[in-house]
Amino acid sequence: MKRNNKIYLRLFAIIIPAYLLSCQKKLDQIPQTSISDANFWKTTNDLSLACNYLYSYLPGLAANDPSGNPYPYQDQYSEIAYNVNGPNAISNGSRLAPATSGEWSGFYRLIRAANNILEKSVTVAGDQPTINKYLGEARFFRAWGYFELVKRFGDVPYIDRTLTTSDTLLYSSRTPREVVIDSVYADLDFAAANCPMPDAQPSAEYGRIPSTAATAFKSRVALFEGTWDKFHSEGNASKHLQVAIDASSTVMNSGKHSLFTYAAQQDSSYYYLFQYQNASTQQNYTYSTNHEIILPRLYGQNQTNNISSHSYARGSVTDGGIAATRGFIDMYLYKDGLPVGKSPYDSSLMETSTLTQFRNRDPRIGMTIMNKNQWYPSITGIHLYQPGLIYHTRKYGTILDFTAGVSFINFIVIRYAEVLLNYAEATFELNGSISDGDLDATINLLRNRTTNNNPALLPQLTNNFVASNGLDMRAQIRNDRTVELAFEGFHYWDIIRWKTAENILPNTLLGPKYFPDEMKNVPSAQYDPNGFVIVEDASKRSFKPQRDYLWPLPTKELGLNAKLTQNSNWQ
Amino acid sequence: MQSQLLKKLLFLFWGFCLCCISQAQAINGKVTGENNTPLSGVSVQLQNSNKGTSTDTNGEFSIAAPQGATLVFSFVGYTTLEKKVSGNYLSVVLARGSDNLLSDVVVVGYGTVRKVDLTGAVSTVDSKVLVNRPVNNSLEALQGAAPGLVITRSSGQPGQEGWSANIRGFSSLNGTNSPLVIIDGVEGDLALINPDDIQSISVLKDAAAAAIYGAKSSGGVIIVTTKKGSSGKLKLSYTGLYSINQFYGIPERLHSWQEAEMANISRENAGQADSWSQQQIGWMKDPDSSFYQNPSNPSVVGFYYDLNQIPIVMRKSSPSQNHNLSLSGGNDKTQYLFSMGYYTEDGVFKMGPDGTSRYNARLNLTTKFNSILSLDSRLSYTQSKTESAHAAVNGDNALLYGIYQLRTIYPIFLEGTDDTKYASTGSGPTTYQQLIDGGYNDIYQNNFDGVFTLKAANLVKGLTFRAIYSPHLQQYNVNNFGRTIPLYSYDNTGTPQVATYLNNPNSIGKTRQTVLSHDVQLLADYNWDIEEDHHFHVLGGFQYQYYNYDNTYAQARALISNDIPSLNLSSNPNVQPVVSDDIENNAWVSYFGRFNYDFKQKYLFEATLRNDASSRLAPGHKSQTFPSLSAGWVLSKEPWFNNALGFLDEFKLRASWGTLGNAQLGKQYQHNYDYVASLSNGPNYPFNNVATPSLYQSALPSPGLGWETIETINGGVDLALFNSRLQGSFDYFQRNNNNMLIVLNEPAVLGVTPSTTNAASMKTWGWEASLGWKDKSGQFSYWANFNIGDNKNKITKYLGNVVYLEGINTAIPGMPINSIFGYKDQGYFANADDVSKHAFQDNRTGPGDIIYQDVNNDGKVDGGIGTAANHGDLVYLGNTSPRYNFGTTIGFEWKGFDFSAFFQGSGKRSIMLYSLSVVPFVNSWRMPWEINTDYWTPTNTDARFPRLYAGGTQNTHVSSHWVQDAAYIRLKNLQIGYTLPRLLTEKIKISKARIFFSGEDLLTATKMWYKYYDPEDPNNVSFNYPFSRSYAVGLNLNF
Repeated sequence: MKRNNKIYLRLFAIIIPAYLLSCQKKLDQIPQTSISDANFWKTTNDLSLACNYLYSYLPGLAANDPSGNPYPYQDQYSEIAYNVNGPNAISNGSRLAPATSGEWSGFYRLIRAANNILEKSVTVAGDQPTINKYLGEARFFRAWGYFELVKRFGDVPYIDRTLTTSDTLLYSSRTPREVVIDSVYADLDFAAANCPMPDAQPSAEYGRIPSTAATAFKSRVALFEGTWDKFHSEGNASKHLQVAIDASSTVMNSGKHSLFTYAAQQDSSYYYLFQYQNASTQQNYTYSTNHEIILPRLYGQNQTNNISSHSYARGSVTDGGIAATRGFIDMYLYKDGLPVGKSPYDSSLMETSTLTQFRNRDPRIGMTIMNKNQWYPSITGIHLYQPGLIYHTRKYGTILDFTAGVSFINFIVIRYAEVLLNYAEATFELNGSISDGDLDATINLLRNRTTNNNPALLPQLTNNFVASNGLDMRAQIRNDRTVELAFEGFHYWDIIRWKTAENILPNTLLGPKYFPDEMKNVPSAQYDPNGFVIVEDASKRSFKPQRDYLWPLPTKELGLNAKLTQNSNWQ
Repeated sequence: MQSQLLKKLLFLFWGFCLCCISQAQAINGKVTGENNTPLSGVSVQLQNSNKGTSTDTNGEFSIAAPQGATLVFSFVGYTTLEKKVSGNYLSVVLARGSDNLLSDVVVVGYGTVRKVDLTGAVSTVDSKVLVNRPVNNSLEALQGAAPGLVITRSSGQPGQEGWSANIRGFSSLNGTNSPLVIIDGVEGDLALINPDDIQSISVLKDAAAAAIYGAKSSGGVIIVTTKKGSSGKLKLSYTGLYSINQFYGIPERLHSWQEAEMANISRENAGQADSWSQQQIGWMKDPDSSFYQNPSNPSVVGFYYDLNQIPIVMRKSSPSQNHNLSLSGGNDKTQYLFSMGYYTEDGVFKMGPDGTSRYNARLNLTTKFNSILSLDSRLSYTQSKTESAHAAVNGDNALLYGIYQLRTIYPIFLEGTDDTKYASTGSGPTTYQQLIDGGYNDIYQNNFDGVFTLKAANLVKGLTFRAIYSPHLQQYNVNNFGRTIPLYSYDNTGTPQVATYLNNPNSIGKTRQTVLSHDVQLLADYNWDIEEDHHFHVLGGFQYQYYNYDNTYAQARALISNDIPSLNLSSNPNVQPVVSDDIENNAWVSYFGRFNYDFKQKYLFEATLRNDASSRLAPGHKSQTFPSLSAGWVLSKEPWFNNALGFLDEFKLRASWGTLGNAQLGKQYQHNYDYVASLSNGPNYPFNNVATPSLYQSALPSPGLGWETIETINGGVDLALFNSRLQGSFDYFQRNNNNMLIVLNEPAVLGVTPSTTNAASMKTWGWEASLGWKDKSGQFSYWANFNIGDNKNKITKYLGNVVYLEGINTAIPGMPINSIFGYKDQGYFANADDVSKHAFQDNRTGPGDIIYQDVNNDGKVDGGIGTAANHGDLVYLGNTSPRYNFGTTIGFEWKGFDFSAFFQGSGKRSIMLYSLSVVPFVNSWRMPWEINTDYWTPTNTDARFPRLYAGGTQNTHVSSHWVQDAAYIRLKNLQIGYTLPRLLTEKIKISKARIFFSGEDLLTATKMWYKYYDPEDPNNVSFNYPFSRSYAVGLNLNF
């Protein structure tokens, strides 16, 4: 037995140390199913994968935008739209400075992702134009992020590199908006120079940033800054307005874009622009079938191949998530080109039925707002639309998508019509006037598309028409912009830069007029003396001009960074 | 050949029995205690048989036994005595005192120790609390069983209850803070072990006791030892339970017209148009006009039903069953135990997949090869299956939410289709449809565990080597089938047609997850004594653990058949299959040693040193050494103490100090590579209608990721009085996590989740007490036990920025973990004047809304800028950790009857209610419940709920109005049993037969007024699967 013991001991003495060494090696583990940063950033395909992430920040019809809502919901901040489920705190002035902000942190996440691509690209080997194309995309998105921040918060910290937790820039103060916007221009110029023209994009790449998107977006930024500076008496308005004119004319002169017409039903082109190319197959437009779309936010493909979807048709259009106000209805011109109060066709206070309010008006009204006897789904079933106490909107709404509860219609982030309107407005604001030629090249193109070139439905806008009818050219340009771009997320930002929000937002929001004979089963509501539904009374609405033109910074960020200051009167 | 051998064996066996019987004769005797007092009720048992009797009031007994046989005398409070039969009369004297907890053997890390020799804080759990209960896993049975051990659950869903254990509160902000569970010497899972297989459970609470387990034991250790066989003849036992589980806490719904009327009020209060006209409300009330169809256009329909779907879909009670069978026996060389268990439970839904079942099998086998080498093998296998619906069951927008909160105006089936076609209602619940026709989500778990311990005892005198190898294989499979369901509406001609689909396209998703881990330990024990009084023990060891997780997921969509879910059957070439995998590895290497010394078992000393290295930590920070020390002083063994305080049978003081490491940032398959800069998958973007992948950096790497160091001190006292009938212990502890990992709060301009850094500290402190009494008088024996524990914690250091937010704040310096901050409720505004006089809250604020206190008197109610200096009017409203957790058992046995009642509860806990279910109409489709009818109106001003308000988020802020004290006491288990007289059962060869009733969660008293939440529900939970009470009848049979 003694001998056995010794054998055991010797055996252990040999085996154990050898085993211990092999265990020690196992302490060094590396990830096996994810890519480490050190092994990435080698090929242009790597750049493409990194850029693909940026596209998830494009605004759309789902809550994928950092605002947490479909992009058109930003119209709810203004007087033209509201959500039937409840009032909007930005529109009625009741919001308080929030602790955190999805926009603030979300856009800085986007900016970091873009900065990361720009920095890491130095190790990427490959075809330089291809590399530059992706760098152009990254810079487009960085510009997008900063403009969305500046629009809301004014001056914001400008971060142009990827930060670590020890970087002093982390605790930087706010950079003047002028400086931020100059960098936005530089980014967009780079993107415009290095991204392909839309017709040079392979169809498999439809949806990536084309050169014209960068330029068109630049016109949006510049118009915003130009008019902001002009009406808020800041900065250098004419510089920005000139940039806006240059950028929009570059797109207009490129020949790559034009207004969309729907061949099968030309007088309804404006309606079909916001529909599928083919409703039954849920097929979306591409560049070859629709030149008006400069940059789409893609959804795809259908319920069977559901890559990315939204429920805008259901939750927003049909359920009244984005309903129009009476104030917006009143913006539609009558067929003589004259507005409410001027036109002999004006029936606003004499309407006898729901149909009369659509009669004799800019045809866009029926293509934007749900009208009697159109097919309409609702929570109690699908039926022919019976007007009630809500003006339902129609853009991006389809019955098919309602019943399925899931929709794949692309959202148009930038369309050519906006570029035309940017050009017209920038020209007028820079010069104080606009020529009939410029009007024909812009606003009248939109009117013609709407009427299918029938001036009897809506005449051309000319200097003479304005003068002879005692109208105001600026008001006409702005009105055409609001009507054309309604429920696409523009109007609130327009009244902010025009500095008209203080006069517009504190007023009562009205809904449709109540017609007892037509509306038998509608619930009771509160009405104004003229019989219009009160959506929100003026007593519940306010706008503080010294405060509300800029958004409050999230208070958590102020606590984290002492150098960050709050916008005026939000303390 | 074999059968001949068997015959011979049988013959021998029969012969042996015959011998016994023929030689048995009546033996009489008397049992006395101290001072020659007769003891009545002493059990007298013939060893290795089922024959026994007990003494009468004179202490006398009579039993038939052969000469030379051994009789075993046992009695509560006395040392058990064995005595050989010689002659016809036995005079037996029993000595006091050793049948008590202090001299019980307690399982500790890598060995056992007599309770009297313990220096660390260790509680033991009587295996009695684990058995004969209608529970589906061991964790559930441990609730309230030991002081300082808190067991919680997150749901009532069968098989997915989310049971978790915690010892002494938080030790870290990171990970689960779960104790390390050691089953038969290696890491295991308590949820998978059959409660019936458990021999003993020890709960190691302080660093000194846990230190030997090192790296993973910062949350304490639960040591489970399974039963094993003993030499002797084959023993067979069976336990069976049949239970009825009754569900409770389900919201009571209102009639559809009540919902509609309240909706109108909520909209009027918000200055909006009504949702429903009086005529529509009239239709809801009238059962004959609940369906409206336009005669001129049959596709135009309206639904005005009054259909509460809860009783259609959910049942009041469901059954469960539990069966356990075990065989054990052996001889001098080999002992075995084999057990099997089966458990099955049905869920709350009347239809569709909802339930769980489990099989357990275990074989414990000990073999002695020679005088030195022996092998102990423990093999266990667990198979479980949990079935639930394809659609999520719990939470917002899930199946329960549908029938709990959506409008009751909708039907399930389309009118006129004889309940054959589901109606497309748009906004109605689809719970019924999803349960019956929507497919399933089935989880299969197969676990195979083995523990092989090769032992070389007394290799040289006092030296023992052990080599332990333990493989663990887990196969976790999920089959998730989403079956397409058509929903119908009418077309223009009034013919039903498919309007839309649920689960479109259909899909089959398969998760195949293999976890393979192994644990190798090499241990050496050396014992030596110097003279009689000095006892030394040294343990040295090495441990290597390796964990490998490999998860594969594949999904096919758009299947050819709606009834054959197979990955092969995807019909559409454009639909890409979804495939993904995740491999996670970690390794741990540890060296450790322990030294024990005692002098006359009076002065006790223990020291432990352990070095741990983990692959989860950054290079250069992987390895660290953790020491601990403890000492005990058994005062009751000092003569001077005995002279002064002789009524104390046992009295011991204990003290310990130690450090432990923590590198568990999450579950085993998470956070394995945090120090590596890696890229995450972003959302797919549909370029060209192809799911195009994307990559991005989601978090900064943590290049300095190192050990959290947790330092614990513990002081305790154990005592026994009244001849050890009363026993108690008390412990105080303090624990500091000095090097805690946190994700820094950085300004959002960083644009990415910051890295994790060792930059915070926290302190946890508390106490535990337990007290037990047991006694026997004649045939009546009874006991009562009480245990309670409390702990508090505080963040003591937090480098970097601190943020105060409304809601649950994880870590604020000077505050407990998970502190709830919110506004102070000051009642309701009575009128507009009140509103204008009060600080500004919200533009919508009006009479009937909650008044929040303007704490800082700045004229507005808000959260400031979220800093320590300025967090506005947010005040501390409690924290989510339960306080004063207690458990108490009382019971007795008398003439075959037994009774026990087990209460368990918690003395204090703040719980935050889910904001979207506290008030109705936050969204237009969120309906009120019966409880919500008590809302504020000018004539009902002391209502439970504020005024109705569409989108009324001004009242859903975190405030003292909604933070509830979830203190509760619950009758956890009630057992009444009767053991049939042996005379009766022996005739059918049954040595023991007991029938019993066992009830679980029978009664609850709670401080919460919000009655659709259970005090055991997690914080801020929404539409949770209901809990149930169980009523079980059972049977124990021993052969």
